[in-house]
Amino acid sequence: MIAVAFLTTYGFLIVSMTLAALLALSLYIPFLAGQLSLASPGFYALGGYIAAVLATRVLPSAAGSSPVSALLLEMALAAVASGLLAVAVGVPALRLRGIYFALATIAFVEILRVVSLNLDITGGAVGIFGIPQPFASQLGYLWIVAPLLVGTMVVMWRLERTRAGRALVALREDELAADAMGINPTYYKTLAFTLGAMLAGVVGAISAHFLNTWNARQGTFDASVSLLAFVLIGGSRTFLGPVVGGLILTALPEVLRAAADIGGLPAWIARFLKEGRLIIFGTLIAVGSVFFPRGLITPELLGGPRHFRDPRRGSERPASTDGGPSARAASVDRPRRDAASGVAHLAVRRVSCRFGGLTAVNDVSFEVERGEIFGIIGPNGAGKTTLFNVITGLARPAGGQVVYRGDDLTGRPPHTVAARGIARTFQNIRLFGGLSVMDNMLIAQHLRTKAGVVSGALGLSVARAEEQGIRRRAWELLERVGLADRAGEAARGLPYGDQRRLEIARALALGPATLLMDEPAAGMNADEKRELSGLVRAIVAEFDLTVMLIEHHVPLVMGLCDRIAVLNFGQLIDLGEPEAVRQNPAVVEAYLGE
Amino acid sequence: MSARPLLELHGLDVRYGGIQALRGIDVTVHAGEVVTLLGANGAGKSTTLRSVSRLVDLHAGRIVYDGRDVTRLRADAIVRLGISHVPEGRRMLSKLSVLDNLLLGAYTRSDHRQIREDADRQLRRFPRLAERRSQMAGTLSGGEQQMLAIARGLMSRPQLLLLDEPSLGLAPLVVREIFSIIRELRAAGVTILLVEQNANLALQHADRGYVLESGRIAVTGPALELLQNTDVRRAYLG
Repeated sequence: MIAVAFLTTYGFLIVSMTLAALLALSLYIPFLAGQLSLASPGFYALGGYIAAVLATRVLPSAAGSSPVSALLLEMALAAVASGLLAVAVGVPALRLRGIYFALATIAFVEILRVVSLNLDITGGAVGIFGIPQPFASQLGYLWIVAPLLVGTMVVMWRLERTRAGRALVALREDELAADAMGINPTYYKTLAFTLGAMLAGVVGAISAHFLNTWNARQGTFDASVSLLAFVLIGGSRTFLGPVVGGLILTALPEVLRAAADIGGLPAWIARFLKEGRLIIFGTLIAVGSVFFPRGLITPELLGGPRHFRDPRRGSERPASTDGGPSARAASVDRPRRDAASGVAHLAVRRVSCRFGGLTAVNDVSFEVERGEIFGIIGPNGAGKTTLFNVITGLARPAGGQVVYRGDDLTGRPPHTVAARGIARTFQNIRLFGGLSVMDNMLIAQHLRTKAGVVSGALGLSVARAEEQGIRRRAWELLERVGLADRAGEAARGLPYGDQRRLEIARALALGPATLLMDEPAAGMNADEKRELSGLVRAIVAEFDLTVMLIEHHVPLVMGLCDRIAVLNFGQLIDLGEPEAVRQNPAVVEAYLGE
Repeated sequence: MSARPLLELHGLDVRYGGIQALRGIDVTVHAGEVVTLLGANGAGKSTTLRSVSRLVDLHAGRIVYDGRDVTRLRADAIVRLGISHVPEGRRMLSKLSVLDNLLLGAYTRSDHRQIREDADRQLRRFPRLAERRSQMAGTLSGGEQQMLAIARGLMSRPQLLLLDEPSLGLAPLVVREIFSIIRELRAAGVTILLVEQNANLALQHADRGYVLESGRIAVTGPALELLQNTDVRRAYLG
């Protein structure tokens, strides 16, 4: 009886809390991909208007439809309309970065508001009244919103653990590295923005009925700020954060008001609780963000750093460090098209690259043969890394061509270059630092898997099988570089040399035919450098790789490379076998010394 | 070399989350000495330097500089004491020019005329930087940034210089230049605590060395002795 009374009294609040949690999630989804979008209230307003117009003008004339199924239809239409608008807005707006993108989304919300104020169909400033109620009481809406919240949470839980969700997180951590792992930033940013918009649109459609009226005061900039507070105070590193933030922060003002009504309180406290509750609310938010800078709900709170278990351990396969038969098997499924064609594996033709007035690479040409270990040396600032950037699509050449196995790669984006089979490591190490070693390895297998949002979110068996496959491969590669026992640690916390090894393992996880390594031995001691040489030789044979290598440690380069190119002031000053290069007086003078 | 210890580390204990990076490290550096820290990746060398410049929190232990307990000082106060840290990974102020980076290295000084002279001296020392003095530091190549990090570290005219892998990513000729700077500084009486992967080179330029292993000091002694110690050779010098 008490429960029924409670639910009846607080029906409005409970449904409002649930709607707030859903809206917070709609902002969280693009946030997951590192995009601060404040556009949710705009799509929320749009969804509301769609439902209000349909319910008051269109559907009443359609006889025989039950109110609930009409609501479901409106929700679906709101989702579709919001999704389409999101793609149209997102594709251009997502070219902006950081705060500029956030500003654009605020402008978007404002434009929608002004439009709705001035259209006849939206009722102008007055809005739309008398939107029909599908349920007898306000609590009845829980039949719609509770399953929607639970369903969204399940989808988010799965998403964060599968391919599409990992691609989003990778973009948040380091867009450039994600791009080089084969993740198309435009596609995934638009996807996240669109999913968030669809959810906001659906919540708007429900809210229009729930509030019985809809007007231009719904979905304004104020709402954007509240939603952002839900996400930041709840916690922005797991989907539970925005849910908890939305629930609590919506309930709090009501709780304060209810507290004021408790008998026996001194009159001034009761009055303060009642009249000053927005002050208390604001203070709590300010204090909360000081003491919980990462939000109330953090991944650590949910069981600390995730522990990883090697799925093969304790099974029939004994632990070994030689890579094992399955690592080899995993590498043979990539196409080998250039075997007999006679075209160069990788041809750099008259490439130049300029930054402002500085010519970093000046008319450089060479060809790399398949299976070769090709070194690039030269003084600091000679253009070595820039050359790698041109090959992998991170820098656009001012002239010249990069032809890979007969395909012109010049000017292709990094994720396309990665998809063609070229992986790289970075001179200044670009791991996804906040993520675990294992997550880094899983993200890198993006191109080897296919599961999209739908199959991942629904937990289809195809997606699950894929997931097991890439995990096994991740373990094998980590074992190969000696990092298997650190799989659960944050990549950022690894010592420098281990971070370099992880970058190599991560690049190998792409399943490349060509691997570009930028100073792989930097920060390694003599022993580790020797090990690295062995590792490079072994993976070249084992994975049928072609390797390009920038390195300053001369004994390592000389001992490892089949041929070496020497750059100085952006120009190729020598190319040949190590011994010949070592004796070239120009190379000695520019680089080697003595 | 005087007998007065300039820097004393007593029982330093540092933890990152659940991981123990240092387990009771004791290091003494005398004024005018070059002391090198050796050891594998993850042994705690960088963490030791970061403890001295107060960039990490200590779990336990004491740091004494020039007879004064500085354990509770903050990083900026440490710089004012005359300790300069050239960190691993360069840490450029990437949107500022090369020259501004240098001048900010002298933030604690007020002798403007000499700051300019020192900046010119650094630019003469690294001609690559002189060519790029008005370029944004972020547009430098990796090796050029490393040169700038070292030059910036010298701009405060430190008494104690903490060098974390100064040769990282540098061409052989520039590595030689870096070690000739170390010799020059040593002759000028600057005390240096050096972390370097090239252990041979480091020991050739150092007075003493400490070998770290999993956050503990495994071996310590005069540099020459360590160079000849077969265990150390096998493990770290190759």
